[in-house]
Amino acid sequence: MVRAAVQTLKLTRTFGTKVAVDAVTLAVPEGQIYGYLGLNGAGKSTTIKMLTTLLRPTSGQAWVDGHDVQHDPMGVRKVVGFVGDEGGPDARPLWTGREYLRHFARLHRLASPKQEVENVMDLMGLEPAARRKPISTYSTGMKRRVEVGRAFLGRPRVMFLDEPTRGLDLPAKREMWDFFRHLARTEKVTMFLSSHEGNEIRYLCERLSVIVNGRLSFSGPAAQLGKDATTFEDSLIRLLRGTGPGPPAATARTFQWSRA
Amino acid sequence: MSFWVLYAEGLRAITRSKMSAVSLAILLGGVALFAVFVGTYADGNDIFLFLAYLVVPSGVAALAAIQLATPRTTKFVQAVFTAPVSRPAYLAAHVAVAVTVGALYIAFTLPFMGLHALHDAMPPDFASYVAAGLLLTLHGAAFGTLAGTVCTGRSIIPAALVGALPILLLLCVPLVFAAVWSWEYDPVTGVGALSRDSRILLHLAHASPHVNVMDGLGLWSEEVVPKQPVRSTLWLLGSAVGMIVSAAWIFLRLQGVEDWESSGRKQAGAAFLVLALLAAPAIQPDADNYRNPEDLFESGGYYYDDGSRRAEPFVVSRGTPADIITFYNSRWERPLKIGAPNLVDVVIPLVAPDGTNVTAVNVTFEGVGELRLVGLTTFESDPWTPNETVAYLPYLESRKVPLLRLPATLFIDGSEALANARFLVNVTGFFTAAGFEEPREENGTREWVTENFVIENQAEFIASVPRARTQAAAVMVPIPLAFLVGGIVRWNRRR
Repeated sequence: MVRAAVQTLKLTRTFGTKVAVDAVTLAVPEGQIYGYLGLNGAGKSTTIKMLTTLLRPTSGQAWVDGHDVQHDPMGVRKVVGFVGDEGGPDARPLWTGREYLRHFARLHRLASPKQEVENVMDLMGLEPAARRKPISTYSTGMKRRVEVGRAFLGRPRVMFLDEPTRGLDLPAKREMWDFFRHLARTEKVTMFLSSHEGNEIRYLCERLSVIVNGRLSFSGPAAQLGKDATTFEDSLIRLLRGTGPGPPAATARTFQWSRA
Repeated sequence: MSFWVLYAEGLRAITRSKMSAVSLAILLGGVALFAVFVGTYADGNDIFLFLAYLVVPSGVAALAAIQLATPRTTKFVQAVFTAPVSRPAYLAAHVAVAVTVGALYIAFTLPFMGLHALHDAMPPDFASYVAAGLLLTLHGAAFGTLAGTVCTGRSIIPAALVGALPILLLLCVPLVFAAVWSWEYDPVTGVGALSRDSRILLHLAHASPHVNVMDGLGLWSEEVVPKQPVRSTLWLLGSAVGMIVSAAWIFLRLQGVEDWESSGRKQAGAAFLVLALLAAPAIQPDADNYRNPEDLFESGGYYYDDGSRRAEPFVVSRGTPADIITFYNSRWERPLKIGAPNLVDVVIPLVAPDGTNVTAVNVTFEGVGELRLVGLTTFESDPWTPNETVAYLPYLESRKVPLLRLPATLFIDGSEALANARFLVNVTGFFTAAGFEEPREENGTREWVTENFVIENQAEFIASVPRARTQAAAVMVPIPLAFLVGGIVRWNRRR
């Protein structure tokens, strides 16, 4: 039986009268890259924040690698890595990439933070000359690499990735995708991936969930949405809009050009 | 363990960016320049001490507020709190970093005071000023932590503005003087009274941490006396502890990692709590500094008019009623010349009981350290007849006291003296007053009595030596300069 790396049970979060996440129940198998999709404001980031202990659930329960997010937040923080859509290296523009990563290496209390940081920067393809420059001089791609490197610093068992490749060019995206796959396959790191990009989801995720207005509208294998890119995206769009699965033919033709 | 890691990282972050280093260079450089060009011994009014230990430490509040609020405004906390970081340790580390920075700043000023002590007497109340700086640092760290906790959102400006409030509260210090000067004493009974408006003013002034610190450590000039100095300090410390506890409660219970997680009513309550804790010392029952009637003449000064200008009180008599006050007269040309004769008059009012006459005087003068008095070591006269008198109080023109005026030549061998250093003359001796005592109740007879009054005081003289600035610069400038160079080097290395 496959162990669930992430599990939620009727996880709910309200802001005043607004229900941002409404009784979400899901299970993410260990070592998988799991897609978590939704339109803007659907509740993706709120779910991820609850799972990473950044936000308290209003009700329900959640466990990450067996640690209860409400009662054992430190346990959760020891096993997760998080790449958010905000903050990150941009919050410390005057630090160098090396300083930024060393800061977090020390927070993780790694045995040899300096060496570990150099290893991560090698892994993320950050050139030596760039490592001692202020983050403000970095390109978007370099900042994302630093951020992913930061999330990977404590050798997490579960990584929460909120649009991790946003702003990257295609080759950089591919490199990042391969890196995620490598982590999932060889290091058995579970990935909880939130993305707006159909290609990314199709390329990486074995299973996915779709959240619409705070409620899960779909959970299942990614392959269920279609084998080719167009069918997959069309099904996904219908799910995101809450109109149910299935690729309408007209929409599929509309998107033909993008594959050429 | 998490606390110490966060504490070390917090301290690292202070100097990590080039702007931090340059900002520190500017701040410390400003204090250093003030020390070099104004200095404790130059101003004569402890302006340097006031700036260094009462003004600058108040900035810790703004620093603490910004340090705590910035990671939230930039969402940096998302990265921090998905690492194994506990929130109580994070908050405690922030407070500790703010306190450490304040303490390091005070340590930065100590060599200058050491230099002062090496060459000259330690400035009066120096230890008290250092203690005041530390107390204000603690209070600032507490208030800044609370301000930084409450002010969440997308902008750092509210946290910075609220954090700067303690500096603004410095304006309460002159309020105390204004209130105290409104004390009115009955010239016959000596009983004083404070008007209702002034009482309210005093209470408001006690919202200022500076006023409470000055109360507690006796940093007012002699005429301002707090009735309950210890209680003022306790109110201040209580307020600081309350702020820390409140900040912890809000941060850990009412807020999440990034923002509030409680109702608007609780948020408003928390904001009210901040202001209430800041203003709490204002409601203390002992906010009634008064003007010491025994020192009245001192604060008012002996208004001795030599026809051209007014002589200022010259020596402060501490503790005991100032029966004797020595002051310097109008021939004083400040600063005194080094290695050359300085012609002065040493002037001593002899405050004898009302209705008596001074009949004899015996005074000895002794220069301290490198100050020599030429032609004036002892004055002895029995009988003695005063040639001039001075009004005992400016307000009591009818009461005149005899004045002893002694021309003297001061010679300062001050090769090692600091710029505008104070040189001291010990004045000791006695004078004899004679007169009829008060009529006895039973038969109304009066007896002729003679009584000796002790003269024991110190006069201060100010002299100037150019080398002093060099020495002061040598101990004060290197650290800010190092920060400046470090910031520039760091900037260039990264380009």
